[in-house]
Amino acid sequence: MSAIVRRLAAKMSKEEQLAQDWQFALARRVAQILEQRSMTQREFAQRARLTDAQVSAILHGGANPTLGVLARIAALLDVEILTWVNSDVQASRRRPATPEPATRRLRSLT
Amino acid sequence: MYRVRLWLAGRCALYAVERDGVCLADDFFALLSEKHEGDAVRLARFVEMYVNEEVLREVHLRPELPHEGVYAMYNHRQLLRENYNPSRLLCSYLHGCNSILVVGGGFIKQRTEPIQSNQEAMMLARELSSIMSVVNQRLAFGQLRVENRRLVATSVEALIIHHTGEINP
Repeated sequence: MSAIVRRLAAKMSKEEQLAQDWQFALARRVAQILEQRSMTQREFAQRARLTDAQVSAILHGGANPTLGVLARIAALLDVEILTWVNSDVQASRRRPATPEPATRRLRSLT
Repeated sequence: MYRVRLWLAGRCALYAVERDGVCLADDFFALLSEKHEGDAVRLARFVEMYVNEEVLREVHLRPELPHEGVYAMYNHRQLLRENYNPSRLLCSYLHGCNSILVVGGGFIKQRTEPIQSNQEAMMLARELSSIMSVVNQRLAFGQLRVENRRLVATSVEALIIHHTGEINP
């Protein structure tokens, strides 16, 4: 397993962690909407009145959309986007980031 | 000599390419953290989150050489009034599988430059593409198989690639 990735990821501040969790949860939910509705990114952009670049940034987990943009997505696509994003973030915080390696579990039992 | 080994495991799995014993992805993160630590931290956490997804969706990746099956993990940074993250970690899907990616090297991109004009990045992308063609061939011939979202080799040799003639970065 990559120790350097773990070490670097652990350096992120709590504030930025939470922001990135929200951004990624938003990316996942928008991807799911595209899949479920068989929509292209362009169709999504047109329906939500966003630019292609905005949709691309959302899907890459890097967007910092305003509440107005989120409201537009929610209203025009009839989705509870903020509720979903928040519940996803809460759920991800309840489960460990990655499964504990079996060796560590065994060591803790000895 | 190249070797493919498990790099990060979550609900899905990422495998990394080692070239002569050096893990290209770890090497990239080491370099990136020296030059742009903030970007390295952000990309590392993105990678950690991504591997814990139910499926590794292509829409979250950036197509670098999509016709050769090469994508990149990257993460924008629209926070703190910055919206550019120059780090790209190259990756490629295992054929017919959306829960396993193989990561190669990475590169630091200039804002206006496409991958095609970055010689080092192109070399890394082609290298990964060549390795993947061998890996996918072995998958097709049963020397490798996917089991419980992990890559299982029928022999140690199945994850080692000697075909230097085939791989010409």
